[in-house]
Amino acid sequence: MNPVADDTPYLADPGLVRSALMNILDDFNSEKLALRDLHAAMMNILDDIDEERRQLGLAKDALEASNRELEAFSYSVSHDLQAPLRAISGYSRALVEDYQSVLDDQGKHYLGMIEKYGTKMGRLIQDLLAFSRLGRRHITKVTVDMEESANEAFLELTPDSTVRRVRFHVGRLPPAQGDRAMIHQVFVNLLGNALKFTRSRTEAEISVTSYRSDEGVVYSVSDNGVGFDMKYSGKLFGIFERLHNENEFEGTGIGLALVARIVTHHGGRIWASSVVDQGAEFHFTLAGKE
Amino acid sequence: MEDFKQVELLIVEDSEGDVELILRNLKKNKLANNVYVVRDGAEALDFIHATGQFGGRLGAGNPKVIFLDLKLPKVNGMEVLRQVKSDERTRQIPVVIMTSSGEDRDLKEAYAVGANSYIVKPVVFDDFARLVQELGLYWIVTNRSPR
Repeated sequence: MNPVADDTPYLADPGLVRSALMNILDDFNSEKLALRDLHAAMMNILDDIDEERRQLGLAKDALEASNRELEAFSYSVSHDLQAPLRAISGYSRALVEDYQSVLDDQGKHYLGMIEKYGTKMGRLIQDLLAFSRLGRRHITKVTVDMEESANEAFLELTPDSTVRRVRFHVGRLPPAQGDRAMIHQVFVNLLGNALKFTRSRTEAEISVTSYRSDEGVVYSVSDNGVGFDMKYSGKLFGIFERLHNENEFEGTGIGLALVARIVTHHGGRIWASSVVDQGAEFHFTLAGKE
Repeated sequence: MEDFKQVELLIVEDSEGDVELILRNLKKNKLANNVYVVRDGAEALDFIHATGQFGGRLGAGNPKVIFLDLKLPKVNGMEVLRQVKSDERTRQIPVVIMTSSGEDRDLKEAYAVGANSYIVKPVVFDDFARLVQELGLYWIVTNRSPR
C-alpha cells in the first residue's frame, strides 16, 4: 500500500476555486492579448517579407532587363558597327589600288592612314566584344593540362616571330581546374605580350614555370623583354590602359584586362613584376586558398 | 526582261559598301558575270520563290549558291535561311552565311537551321578581299550541287 496515498476526496473551498479560476482567466486574457500582439507582429513581418520579396523580384526583373539590354547592345555593336568600318578601309584601299596613277605619294599616305585607323578600330571593337562576351560566359571547369595549353598557345602565336630566335621553355606545370578555352586565352595573351615586348631582343627568352605557395599553385610567364616601370603596375590590368605608345608597340589595351578577368572569374589572382629593360614576370593562380 | 537563267550567285546584302566591295573583288577574279544582288530578306524570298517582282523567274531554276547576310531589313537572314531550307524545292541550294557577327548563338542557330557555311566578314580589307575570292572560286567554280 502506498503510504502517501490519500483516499480522502478533496473538497475544494468554492471561494478559493473561484478566485483561482478568475486568476487563470486573467492570465489567459493577458496571454491572449500578448498572442494577439505577437500575431500582429508576425503579420507585419510577413507583410515586410512580402514587400521585400516584391522588391527583390522587381530588382531581379530590372537586372534581367538590363542584362538583356546589354546583350542586345553588344549584339548590335558586333553586327552594325563593323560594316561601316569595313567600307572605310575597303574604299580607301580600292582608291589606292584603282587610282594609283592619279594619286601622289602624300595622297596615298593619307589613304593608307585612313585604312590603318579603320582597321585599328575594327580590332578594338572585336577585343571589346570578346571582353564583354566573357562576362556572360559560364565557366566549364575541367582538368586542364597546363603544359599542353601553354605549348599550344605558343605554337598558335609563333608565325609572327619567324625572323628572330625565340627560346621558349615550359617547365613542370601541375594541371589546373578551369575552363579550357579561357585558360588557353590566358596563355595566348600572356605569351603574345612576351613575344611582342621581346621583339627588340636578338634572342628572346620566354618561359612558363610554376611554384607552390600558400595560395596554391602559382603559374608564371616570364620574358627578357623591355619590361615596364613598376610605378605603373596599378594600370597594367585596366581596360584600355597602355604603358607604351603605339609607335613602339601596337595593341588595344584589352589583352591583360581580359586575362585578369578570366583569372578572377576562376577565383584566382594575377600580379606582375618587372625591371625596365630586364624583362617582365606575370604570375597567376586559378583558385583561392583550398 | 532580265535573264534569270544565268544567275549563279545570289547575294543578299543590305550594306551598299559590302555589296560594292564584294562585286569589285569578284570582278577582279572574273567571277562576277552571273551575280544578282537583292537588298533585303523579303526581296530574297521573292527571288528564290519566283514571286512578286520576281514572278518572271518562274522556271528559271535555282541559283548555284546564295551568300546571305543575317541582319537584313524586313525579313532577317535567319528567317530567309529557315524558309529556303524548309522548302523541298529550294533546300538543296547551298547557303553561305556572311555576317559581321561572330556571336555564338547566330552560328549555332544557322547550322541548326541548315546553313552550308558560315563566314564572319573580316574588317581588314586584305582579309575580306581574299575571302571573297576564295568563296567565289569555291562555290561558283569548284563546288558541285544539284540544280
